[in-house]
Amino acid sequence: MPTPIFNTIGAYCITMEDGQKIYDLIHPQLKAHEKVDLDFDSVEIVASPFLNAAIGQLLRDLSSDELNTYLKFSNLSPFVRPTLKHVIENAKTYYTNPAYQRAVDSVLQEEANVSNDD
Amino acid sequence: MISEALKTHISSRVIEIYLNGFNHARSPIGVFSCGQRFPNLEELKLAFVDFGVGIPATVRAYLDKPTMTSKNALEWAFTPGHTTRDIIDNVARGNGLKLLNKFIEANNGKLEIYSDTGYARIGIDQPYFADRTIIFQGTFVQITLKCDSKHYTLANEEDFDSEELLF
Repeated sequence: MPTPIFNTIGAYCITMEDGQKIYDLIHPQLKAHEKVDLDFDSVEIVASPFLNAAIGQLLRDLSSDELNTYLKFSNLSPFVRPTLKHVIENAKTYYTNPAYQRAVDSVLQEEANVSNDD
Repeated sequence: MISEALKTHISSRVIEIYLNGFNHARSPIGVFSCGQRFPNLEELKLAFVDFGVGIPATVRAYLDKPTMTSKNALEWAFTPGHTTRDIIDNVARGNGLKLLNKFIEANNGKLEIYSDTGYARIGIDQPYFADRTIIFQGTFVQITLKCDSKHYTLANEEDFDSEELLF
Protein backbone atom coordinates (compact mmCIF):
# COMPACT_ATOMS: atom_id res chain seq x y z
CA MET A 1 0.00 0.00 0.00
CA PRO A 2 1.78 3.19 -1.16
CA THR A 3 2.12 6.21 1.11
CA PRO A 4 1.59 9.20 -1.22
CA ILE A 5 3.67 12.17 -0.07
CA PHE A 6 1.48 14.46 -2.15
CA ASN A 7 -1.59 13.73 0.02
CA THR A 8 0.18 14.89 3.19
CA ILE A 9 2.50 17.63 1.94
CA GLY A 10 1.50 18.61 -1.61
CA ALA A 11 3.74 19.23 -4.62
CA TYR A 12 6.44 21.22 -2.80
CA CYS A 13 8.51 19.23 -0.31
CA ILE A 14 10.96 21.78 1.03
CA THR A 15 10.96 22.36 4.77
CA MET A 16 12.16 20.27 7.70
CA GLU A 17 8.74 20.70 9.30
CA ASP A 18 7.07 18.96 6.36
CA GLY A 19 9.81 16.32 6.35
CA GLN A 20 9.05 15.66 10.01
CA LYS A 21 5.40 14.93 9.14
CA ILE A 22 6.49 12.20 6.73
CA TYR A 23 9.01 10.87 9.27
CA ASP A 24 6.28 10.69 11.94
CA LEU A 25 4.10 8.81 9.48
CA ILE A 26 6.58 6.15 8.35
CA HIS A 27 8.99 5.73 11.27
CA PRO A 28 6.60 3.68 13.50
CA GLN A 29 5.79 1.35 10.59
CA LEU A 30 9.46 0.82 9.76
CA LYS A 31 10.31 0.22 13.42
CA ALA A 32 7.61 -2.47 13.43
CA HIS A 33 9.24 -3.96 10.31
CA GLU A 34 6.25 -3.17 8.12
CA LYS A 35 6.95 -2.41 4.48
CA VAL A 36 6.56 1.23 3.44
CA ASP A 37 6.24 2.38 -0.15
CA LEU A 38 6.89 6.12 -0.19
CA ASP A 39 5.29 7.48 -3.33
CA PHE A 40 6.63 10.70 -4.88
CA ASP A 41 3.91 10.85 -7.54
CA SER A 42 2.85 14.47 -8.32
CA VAL A 43 5.63 15.85 -6.13
CA GLU A 44 7.41 18.58 -8.11
CA ILE A 45 10.06 20.13 -5.87
CA VAL A 46 12.14 18.30 -3.28
CA ALA A 47 14.80 20.11 -1.24
CA SER A 48 17.41 18.68 1.11
CA PRO A 49 15.96 20.00 4.42
CA PHE A 50 12.78 18.04 3.72
CA LEU A 51 14.75 14.86 3.00
CA ASN A 52 17.03 15.36 6.03
CA ALA A 53 14.01 15.25 8.32
CA ALA A 54 11.88 12.71 6.43
CA ILE A 55 14.53 10.17 5.40
CA GLY A 56 17.99 10.98 6.81
CA GLN A 57 16.62 10.96 10.33
CA LEU A 58 15.47 7.33 9.94
CA LEU A 59 19.10 6.26 10.22
CA ARG A 60 19.16 7.36 13.85
CA ASP A 61 17.67 4.08 15.05
CA LEU A 62 17.20 1.97 11.93
CA SER A 63 20.02 0.16 10.13
CA SER A 64 20.80 0.40 6.43
CA ASP A 65 19.78 -3.24 6.06
CA GLU A 66 16.41 -2.60 7.70
CA LEU A 67 15.76 0.44 5.53
CA ASN A 68 16.85 -1.29 2.32
CA THR A 69 14.48 -4.14 3.20
CA TYR A 70 11.41 -2.27 4.38
CA LEU A 71 11.49 1.16 2.70
CA LYS A 72 10.77 1.48 -1.01
CA PHE A 73 10.52 4.65 -3.09
CA SER A 74 8.05 4.95 -5.97
CA ASN A 75 7.99 7.55 -8.73
CA LEU A 76 11.27 9.00 -7.55
CA SER A 77 12.43 11.41 -10.25
CA PRO A 78 16.01 10.95 -11.50
CA PHE A 79 16.51 14.57 -10.51
CA VAL A 80 15.59 13.88 -6.88
CA ARG A 81 17.61 10.69 -6.55
CA PRO A 82 21.06 12.37 -6.28
CA THR A 83 19.74 14.67 -3.54
CA LEU A 84 18.36 11.70 -1.65
CA LYS A 85 21.67 9.86 -1.96
CA HIS A 86 23.61 12.83 -0.57
CA VAL A 87 21.21 13.18 2.33
CA ILE A 88 21.53 9.48 3.17
CA GLU A 89 25.35 9.52 2.97
CA ASN A 90 25.48 12.60 5.17
CA ALA A 91 23.07 11.09 7.71
CA LYS A 92 25.06 7.85 7.83
CA THR A 93 28.22 9.74 8.76
CA TYR A 94 26.35 11.69 11.38
CA TYR A 95 24.44 8.84 13.01
CA THR A 96 27.07 6.10 12.81
CA ASN A 97 29.87 8.11 14.37
CA PRO A 98 28.94 8.94 17.98
CA ALA A 99 32.10 10.99 18.56
CA TYR A 100 31.43 13.07 15.45
CA GLN A 101 27.79 13.51 16.46
CA ARG A 102 28.65 14.63 20.01
CA ALA A 103 31.22 17.09 18.72
CA VAL A 104 28.87 18.60 16.14
CA ASP A 105 25.94 18.78 18.57
CA SER A 106 27.88 20.46 21.34
CA VAL A 107 29.30 23.17 19.09
CA LEU A 108 25.97 23.73 17.36
CA GLN A 109 24.20 23.99 20.70
CA GLU A 110 26.65 26.68 21.78
CA GLU A 111 26.02 28.53 18.53
CA ALA A 112 22.25 28.19 19.02
CA ASN A 113 22.57 29.66 22.53
CA VAL A 114 24.55 32.59 21.17
CA SER A 115 21.91 33.17 18.48
CA ASN A 116 19.12 33.11 21.07
CA ASP A 117 20.90 35.72 23.14
CA ASP A 118 20.96 38.23 20.23
CA MET B 1 12.80 26.08 -24.14
CA ILE B 2 13.36 24.76 -20.67
CA SER B 3 11.85 21.34 -20.20
CA GLU B 4 9.44 20.86 -17.30
CA ALA B 5 11.83 18.39 -15.70
CA LEU B 6 14.77 20.77 -15.93
CA LYS B 7 12.63 23.65 -14.67
CA THR B 8 11.65 21.79 -11.52
CA HIS B 9 15.23 20.64 -11.04
CA ILE B 10 16.59 24.18 -11.29
CA SER B 11 13.84 25.32 -8.91
CA SER B 12 14.80 22.65 -6.38
CA ARG B 13 18.42 23.75 -6.36
CA VAL B 14 17.62 27.45 -6.28
CA ILE B 15 15.31 26.88 -3.31
CA GLU B 16 18.35 25.58 -1.42
CA ILE B 17 19.88 29.06 -1.72
CA TYR B 18 16.75 30.73 -0.41
CA LEU B 19 16.70 28.31 2.51
CA ASN B 20 20.33 29.09 3.23
CA GLY B 21 19.49 32.79 3.25
CA PHE B 22 16.51 32.44 5.54
CA ASN B 23 18.09 29.89 7.88
CA HIS B 24 21.61 31.23 8.25
CA ALA B 25 21.75 34.91 7.57
CA ARG B 26 19.54 36.38 10.31
CA SER B 27 18.79 38.98 7.66
CA PRO B 28 16.31 41.59 8.90
CA ILE B 29 14.88 42.17 5.43
CA GLY B 30 14.71 38.57 4.23
CA VAL B 31 16.17 37.72 0.84
CA PHE B 32 15.82 39.80 -2.33
CA SER B 33 15.96 37.99 -5.63
CA CYS B 34 15.73 38.84 -9.29
CA GLY B 35 16.51 37.04 -12.50
CA GLN B 36 16.63 37.36 -16.23
CA ARG B 37 16.65 34.87 -19.04
CA PHE B 38 18.78 35.59 -22.10
CA PRO B 39 17.10 33.56 -24.87
CA ASN B 40 19.82 34.00 -27.48
CA LEU B 41 22.51 32.90 -25.06
CA GLU B 42 20.23 30.23 -23.54
CA GLU B 43 21.28 31.52 -20.16
CA LEU B 44 19.41 32.21 -17.00
CA LYS B 45 20.93 34.62 -14.51
CA LEU B 46 19.62 34.70 -10.97
CA ALA B 47 20.73 37.02 -8.20
CA PHE B 48 20.03 36.86 -4.48
CA VAL B 49 20.99 39.31 -1.83
CA ASP B 50 20.49 39.51 1.91
CA PHE B 51 21.78 42.00 4.43
CA GLY B 52 22.42 39.49 7.17
CA VAL B 53 25.58 38.75 9.10
CA GLY B 54 27.34 37.17 6.11
CA ILE B 55 28.70 33.66 5.65
CA PRO B 56 32.21 34.38 7.09
CA ALA B 57 30.84 35.81 10.35
CA THR B 58 28.52 32.84 10.79
CA VAL B 59 31.33 30.36 10.18
CA ARG B 60 33.75 32.23 12.49
CA ALA B 61 31.21 32.25 15.32
CA TYR B 62 30.36 28.61 14.79
CA LEU B 63 33.98 27.44 14.73
CA ASP B 64 34.98 29.92 17.42
CA LYS B 65 37.76 31.17 15.17
CA PRO B 66 37.41 34.96 15.23
CA THR B 67 40.54 35.52 13.16
CA MET B 68 39.61 33.13 10.33
CA THR B 69 39.81 34.90 6.96
CA SER B 70 36.67 35.33 4.87
CA LYS B 71 38.31 33.27 2.13
CA ASN B 72 38.92 30.32 4.48
CA ALA B 73 35.42 30.65 5.94
CA LEU B 74 33.84 30.39 2.48
CA GLU B 75 36.03 27.39 1.64
CA TRP B 76 34.87 25.75 4.86
CA ALA B 77 31.22 26.45 4.01
CA PHE B 78 31.63 24.72 0.63
CA THR B 79 33.03 21.55 2.20
CA PRO B 80 30.40 18.77 2.06
CA GLY B 81 28.64 18.11 5.35
CA HIS B 82 29.65 21.41 6.91
CA THR B 83 26.78 23.41 8.30
CA THR B 84 26.42 26.08 10.94
CA ARG B 85 22.71 25.59 11.36
CA ASP B 86 21.59 24.61 14.84
CA ILE B 87 20.31 21.09 14.97
CA ILE B 88 16.65 20.29 15.57
CA ASP B 89 16.21 16.88 17.20
CA ASN B 90 19.71 15.87 16.11
CA VAL B 91 18.95 15.73 12.41
CA ALA B 92 21.96 15.66 10.10
CA ARG B 93 22.25 18.65 7.75
CA GLY B 94 24.71 20.33 5.46
CA ASN B 95 23.83 19.38 1.88
CA GLY B 96 22.64 22.60 0.29
CA LEU B 97 25.85 24.12 -1.02
CA LYS B 98 27.30 20.79 -2.09
CA LEU B 99 24.21 19.92 -4.12
CA LEU B 100 24.11 23.35 -5.68
CA ASN B 101 27.80 23.11 -6.43
CA LYS B 102 27.39 19.80 -8.28
CA PHE B 103 24.44 21.14 -10.21
CA ILE B 104 26.35 24.22 -11.30
CA GLU B 105 29.32 22.15 -12.41
CA ALA B 106 27.17 19.69 -14.36
CA ASN B 107 25.31 22.55 -15.95
CA ASN B 108 28.43 24.39 -17.13
CA GLY B 109 27.12 27.23 -15.05
CA LYS B 110 28.74 29.67 -12.69
CA LEU B 111 28.12 30.58 -9.07
CA GLU B 112 29.62 33.67 -7.50
CA ILE B 113 29.29 34.72 -3.88
CA TYR B 114 30.32 37.98 -2.26
CA SER B 115 30.00 37.94 1.51
CA ASP B 116 31.82 40.25 3.91
CA THR B 117 35.31 40.45 2.36
CA GLY B 118 35.08 36.93 0.93
CA TYR B 119 34.59 35.95 -2.69
CA ALA B 120 33.85 32.47 -4.05
CA ARG B 121 33.49 31.35 -7.64
CA ILE B 122 32.38 27.87 -8.62
CA GLY B 123 31.99 26.39 -12.08
CA ILE B 124 34.88 27.82 -14.05
CA ASP B 125 37.95 25.64 -13.74
CA GLN B 126 38.67 24.89 -10.09
CA PRO B 127 36.65 26.52 -7.30
CA TYR B 128 38.22 29.87 -6.55
CA PHE B 129 38.19 31.63 -3.17
CA ALA B 130 39.68 35.01 -2.33
CA ASP B 131 39.79 37.81 0.20
CA ARG B 132 38.84 41.23 -1.14
CA THR B 133 39.52 44.66 0.27
CA ILE B 134 35.91 45.82 -0.17
CA ILE B 135 33.37 44.66 2.41
CA PHE B 136 29.85 43.62 1.42
CA GLN B 137 27.58 43.77 4.47
CA GLY B 138 25.55 40.65 3.86
CA THR B 139 25.66 38.07 1.11
CA PHE B 140 25.28 38.47 -2.64
CA VAL B 141 24.91 35.38 -4.81
CA GLN B 142 24.75 35.30 -8.59
CA ILE B 143 24.14 32.14 -10.58
CA THR B 144 24.45 31.73 -14.32
CA LEU B 145 22.81 28.61 -15.73
CA LYS B 146 22.61 27.18 -19.21
CA CYS B 147 18.88 26.65 -19.47
CA ASP B 148 18.78 24.58 -22.63
CA SER B 149 18.30 20.90 -21.87
CA LYS B 150 20.98 19.90 -24.36
CA HIS B 151 23.58 21.56 -22.14
CA TYR B 152 22.49 19.50 -19.22
CA THR B 153 22.59 15.77 -18.73
CA LEU B 154 21.79 14.13 -15.46
CA ALA B 155 24.63 11.67 -15.97
CA ASN B 156 27.04 14.55 -15.58
CA GLU B 157 25.73 15.40 -12.18
CA GLU B 158 25.53 11.94 -10.72
CA ASP B 159 25.85 8.45 -12.10
CA PHE B 160 23.13 6.31 -10.73
CA ASP B 161 21.79 2.83 -11.03
CA SER B 162 18.08 2.63 -10.33
CA GLU B 163 18.51 -0.88 -8.89
CA GLU B 164 21.18 0.06 -6.38
CA LEU B 165 20.43 0.03 -2.68
CA LEU B 166 20.01 3.55 -1.40
CA PHE B 167 20.87 2.99 2.25
